[in-house]
Amino acid sequence: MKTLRIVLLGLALPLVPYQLLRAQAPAALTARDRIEINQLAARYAFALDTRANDGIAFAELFAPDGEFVGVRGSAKGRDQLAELARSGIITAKKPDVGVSHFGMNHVIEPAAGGAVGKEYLVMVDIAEGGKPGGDFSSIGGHYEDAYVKTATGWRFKRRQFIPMKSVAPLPESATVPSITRPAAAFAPVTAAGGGQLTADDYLAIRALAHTYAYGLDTGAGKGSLYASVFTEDAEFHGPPAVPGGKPFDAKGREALRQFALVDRGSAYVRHFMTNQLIEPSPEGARGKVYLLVIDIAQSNKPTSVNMGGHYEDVYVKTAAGWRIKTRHFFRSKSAQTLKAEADAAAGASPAK
Amino acid sequence: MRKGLTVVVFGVCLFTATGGAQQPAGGVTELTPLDYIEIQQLAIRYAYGLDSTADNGYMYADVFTSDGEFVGRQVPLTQGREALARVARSVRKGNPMYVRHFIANHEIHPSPEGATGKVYLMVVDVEEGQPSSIYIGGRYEDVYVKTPQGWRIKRRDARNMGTPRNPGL
Repeated sequence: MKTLRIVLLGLALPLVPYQLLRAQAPAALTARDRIEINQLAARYAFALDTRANDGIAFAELFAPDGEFVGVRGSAKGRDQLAELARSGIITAKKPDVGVSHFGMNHVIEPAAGGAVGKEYLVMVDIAEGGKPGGDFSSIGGHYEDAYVKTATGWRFKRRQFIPMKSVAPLPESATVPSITRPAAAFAPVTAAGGGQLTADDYLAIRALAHTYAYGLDTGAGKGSLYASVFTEDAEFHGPPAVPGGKPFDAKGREALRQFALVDRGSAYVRHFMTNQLIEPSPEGARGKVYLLVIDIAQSNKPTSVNMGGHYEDVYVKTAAGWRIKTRHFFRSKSAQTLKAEADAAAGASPAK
Repeated sequence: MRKGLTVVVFGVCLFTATGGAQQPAGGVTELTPLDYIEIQQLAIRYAYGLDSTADNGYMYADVFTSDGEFVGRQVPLTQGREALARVARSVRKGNPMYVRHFIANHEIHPSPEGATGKVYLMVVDVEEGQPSSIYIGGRYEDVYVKTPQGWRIKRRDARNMGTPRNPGL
C-alpha cells in the first residue's frame, strides 16, 4: 500500500483505547444515536466491498482524524483511508459481486467523547471467479470501535480489527442433537396481545442477543457477562454442551453462568447472531434469532460452520432493564428431515 | 415463478409506526428511529417467511405491498400477493425449524417514496448431520413504502447475487 503507514500488529493487540473510553464518564445515547451508529457499520461493509467512489465513501465514514487499524497496517486521515479502501484491507482484489464483509452482533455503549462498540466479522467469498455458491474465507474476528458525533453525523474515530483467537483450547466441533420440541409458528403481531415497544425497547432487546454472544464466546467475568442477559429465574433449553451429553436445561442465573465459564479471551468469536425478530407480547416481548456457529480458520483448518439454528425467546422488562426470561434453541432441520424423523419414530413405536 | 427455482425472498406482519417524522428540505421525510427498526424487522420477517413458509406463504408475501415486486436473479419479476406466496410455498424444505437466509449490513436511507435500502444476504445450507455450504450470496436493493398497515417492501431487486451452488431448494 503505497501511501499507507504500515504497522505490523500482533494478535495480542492492546485493547486499551476501547476499554479506556468505555470506563470514562459517558453521556447517554438516544435511540437515534444508536441507529445512526448501526447504519455507519452497515455502510462500512458496502463501502469496502464495492470500493465506492474510489475509496472516498469508505474514508467518509471516519472522522477527519479517524483511524483504521488492521492486521496489515493502519491508516489515518481521509487520504490514507481512501487509499486503504482502494488497495483492499486484506487483498487487492475487489469482491466479484461486491459482497464480502458480513458484520453481526453489533453492540454500542456510551463512552467518553461519544460511544464505543464491537461487531463480529466473517468474510465470505461469493461466486469468486464465477464459482457457484460461496465459501467462508479464513478471515474472521471482531472490530473494536470508537465513534464520535461530528457536524455531519456519527463517524468512526477509530476502528480496529482483531482476528479471532482463543486463549483456551477450542471447543469440540462434533455435532450435537437438538431438542425435540417443535418450534412454534410465529404468531402475527396483532395476536400477541402485547403493548407497543418503543425504539429504545427494540434496541435494548437487540443488545441482549448480541451481548449473549460476547458473554458466551469470551467467558468474560467467569460467565457473569453471559448470565447478565438473563433474569434471575431464567430458563434456557438447548442441545447438550458436549456430544453425547444430556440436553442443556438450565434454570437460574448461576446455572446459566456455568455454561460460559471458560475464559477464551476477548478475541474469540464463534456465535454469529442475525435476523432477530422482535414482537410485543403479554410478558413484554418475544423474539427469534438466527444463529450460525462459525469456527474461523485456525492453522491448516479452514473456516467452517459448526451448526446453525435459531433461538426462541421471551423477554421481560425488569428494574435493571430488558432481560431474557426463557430461551430455547433449535437446530436447523428441513421438512424432509423432520418427516424422516417422524417416520422413524412411528416405525419404532410399539404396534397398537 | 416455478417451483424448484432458487428464490431468496421475505414476508411481513407489521407494527404501527409511531414517532413524529420530520419534513426536511427536498421533499424527503426524515425517518424516525422506529422507522429504521420497523424496516429492519421487515427485512428479517422476509427471511422467516421464506424459511418457515409460515401461513401458507403469506407471511412472506405480506412483507410486500399488495402490488409489491421481487426481481430475482433468475426470475425477472414476481408481483402481487398470490404470486409471492407461491414463491414461499415452493421452498420444499421450509418449516419453522429451518434457517437458511442470513442477512446482515442493512443500510437504510429516506427517499421520496419512503425509504430505500440495501442488505447483504448469504443463504447457508446448515442442517444437522450434513455438511454446510453457502448456496448463494449477494445483496438486495429495496424500495420501502409506509402503508396504513406499516412499512412494506414495494420492490426488492436481487440481481446483485452470485450463482447458486446447485439448482433447486
